[in-house]
Amino acid sequence: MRNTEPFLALQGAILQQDRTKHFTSVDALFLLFLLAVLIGVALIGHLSYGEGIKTETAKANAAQLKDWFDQLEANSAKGQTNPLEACADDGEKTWEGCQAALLSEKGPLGSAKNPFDAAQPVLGAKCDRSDLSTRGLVVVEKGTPAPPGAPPAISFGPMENGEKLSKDLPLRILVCDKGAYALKVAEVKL
Amino acid sequence: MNDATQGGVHHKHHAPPDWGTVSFRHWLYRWLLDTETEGNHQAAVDRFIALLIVANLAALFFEHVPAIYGPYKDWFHWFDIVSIAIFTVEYLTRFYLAPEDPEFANRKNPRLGYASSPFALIDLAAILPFYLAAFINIDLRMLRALRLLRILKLFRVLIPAVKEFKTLNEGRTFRQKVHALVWPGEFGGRLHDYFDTFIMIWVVVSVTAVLLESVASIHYVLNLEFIILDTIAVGVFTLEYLLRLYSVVETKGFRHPIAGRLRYVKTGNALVDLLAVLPFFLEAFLHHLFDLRFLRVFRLLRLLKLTKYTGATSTLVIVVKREWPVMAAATFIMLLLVVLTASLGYLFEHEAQPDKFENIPASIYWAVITLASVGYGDISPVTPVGRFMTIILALLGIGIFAIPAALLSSAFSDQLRIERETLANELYVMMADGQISTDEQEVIDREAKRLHLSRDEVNRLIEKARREREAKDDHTGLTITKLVERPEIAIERYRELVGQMRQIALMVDKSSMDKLVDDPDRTTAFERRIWKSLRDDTTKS
Repeated sequence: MRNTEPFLALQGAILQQDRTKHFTSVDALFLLFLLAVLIGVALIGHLSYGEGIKTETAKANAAQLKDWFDQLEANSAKGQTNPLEACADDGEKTWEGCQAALLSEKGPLGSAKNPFDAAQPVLGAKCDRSDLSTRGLVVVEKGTPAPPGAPPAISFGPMENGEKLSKDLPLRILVCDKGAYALKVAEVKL
Repeated sequence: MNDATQGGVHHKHHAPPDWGTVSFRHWLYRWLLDTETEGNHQAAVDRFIALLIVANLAALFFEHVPAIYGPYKDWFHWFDIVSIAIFTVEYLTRFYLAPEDPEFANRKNPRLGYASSPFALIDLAAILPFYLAAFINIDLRMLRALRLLRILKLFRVLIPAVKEFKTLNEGRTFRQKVHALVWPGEFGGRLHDYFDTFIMIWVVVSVTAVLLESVASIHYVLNLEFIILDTIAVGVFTLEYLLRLYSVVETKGFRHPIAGRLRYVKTGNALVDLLAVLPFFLEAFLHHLFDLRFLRVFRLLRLLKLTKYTGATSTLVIVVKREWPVMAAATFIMLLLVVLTASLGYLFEHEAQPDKFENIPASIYWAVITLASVGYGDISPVTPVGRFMTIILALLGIGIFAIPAALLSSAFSDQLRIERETLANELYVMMADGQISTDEQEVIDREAKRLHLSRDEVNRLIEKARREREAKDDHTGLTITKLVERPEIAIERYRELVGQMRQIALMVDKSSMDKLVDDPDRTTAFERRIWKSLRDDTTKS
């Protein structure tokens, strides 16, 4: 049979020493763990901030589009520009033609990239929470006036590519955030 | 704790002096800045300055948000001017009152001593850039950076608290110190109070941020700021949670390193603390698998963290536990009535309105809305029997639904009465020595705050305890039968009587007394023996 007495005595002595110490190795381990957790929180926060920056970039893309429409409306009011000609120069005046103009080099989204995935388009039809590839998209919806007295006065919905555009068409600009939720940026008129 | 030690002697003023009895400077110092005078405004001044510093930091933060700073530029400017004015007045007041401050009073030039002290230099650094900007062209960004120096003013509050904490915890282990910092107790001192305040401020800030996040227009503008705030809040709350978990083994009932901590983790407060940070981690690790945005609303649970700092919720829990059997009976009757009502509603109305009273479960909504006297009116009976039944049910509902509310309300006031009586009993015990010590006063103040008692009410309770204590000590009115049941009082009474007899023996004319005592018609032999013994004893002395 092994004699365990010296071992127990040593263990007891270590424990006794630990009890009398003001700062033990366990305390040091706890502090290290605390530091690791706080670094973890900071890292998660940093990643979250990075995603937030991407959403901000998408919002900036949408804001560029809004400014362009605002400028168009202002020029149209002065009689300098026909907004339909400026937006859709495809003859048919469809949304597809307008998209091409918006994404052309001279268009407001010509240099824009999808911040979440550069391979994905900048302009899209809708934000889809079940499809994360729609993150960072700028979405333009068309407004349809509701019957008088029925709230809301204008209801917005997605535009088909072949949708014909008309002057003073109400538009709503949205952006898809990091969870592919739609964020409203502005309402403009063509 | 606030006792000043000078040459080993504790100096503590019980109240500030009256106007006119001392010099104006001394009077002002004792009222505003003296940490050793009880009942003055020193703590309020410190608290106000600390809040102003925190408000300055918040202003500095929001000045970097163009959407907020742009429209309210003038407000920010005026707030800065008002803050500087207050900090300047504070600096000049301290400078003027330096000769009254025991720290500088013995110096050759007390005001110079104050001006060169670290705290005064910090105070000066907080206001100087503003005045310099009036004469020197300083870059605005530089000026903002220099305004950060105002944080240093918090050291005026923190350093004394840290010193006090060190003194209180001298010779204690690291874990005990952590325990003293995060848990209430005798070793925490003011630093523990500041820790609690810090946590409370972050709870309020983070909950306000969560509420504002739900406003689309605000969230759109402050998205990044909300992310930063949430990360810092989670960092603070995680730190608090881990510190509590680590040091809880120093608390009675949680001593075992593993079982104790597991027991703590299962407590209500620990669960609330965990739920306050969990959404952040879950969303970070699992957002690729599930849409966990709904978890964000659980961040509002952080508000429950404040329940640690109020006794109201614990009183409510006690009340619910105590009244549970009655409440369960009332709830059972309520449920019975709801199911019966829904069934009758379905029976009478289904044929007339099959879309509204589709089935019994669907009718439950109507039953509850009717019984609770809410009556939205979206579903209502149309048949005569259904309408008649609704009248009866609405009248019944008023009584049945009011029972639990009335029960809770009366039990709550009953509980408060019990707790006030407990305080009265504690006061009675405290008055055993006829006075209330500083520690006892702290306990009384804490309990008075918890029970929402005014100063007058506390004084009334103390007075009542004092009178009861005096009445108990005065045992002259006790009958012999009562007296013999309590030997500790009987001996006091015996000594009192013997003392009175000795007094008589000392003062009376002994020869006349001898004649009367010797008369066998007047006294017994036993009484004569006692008189003799008393006379001899007093004659010797």
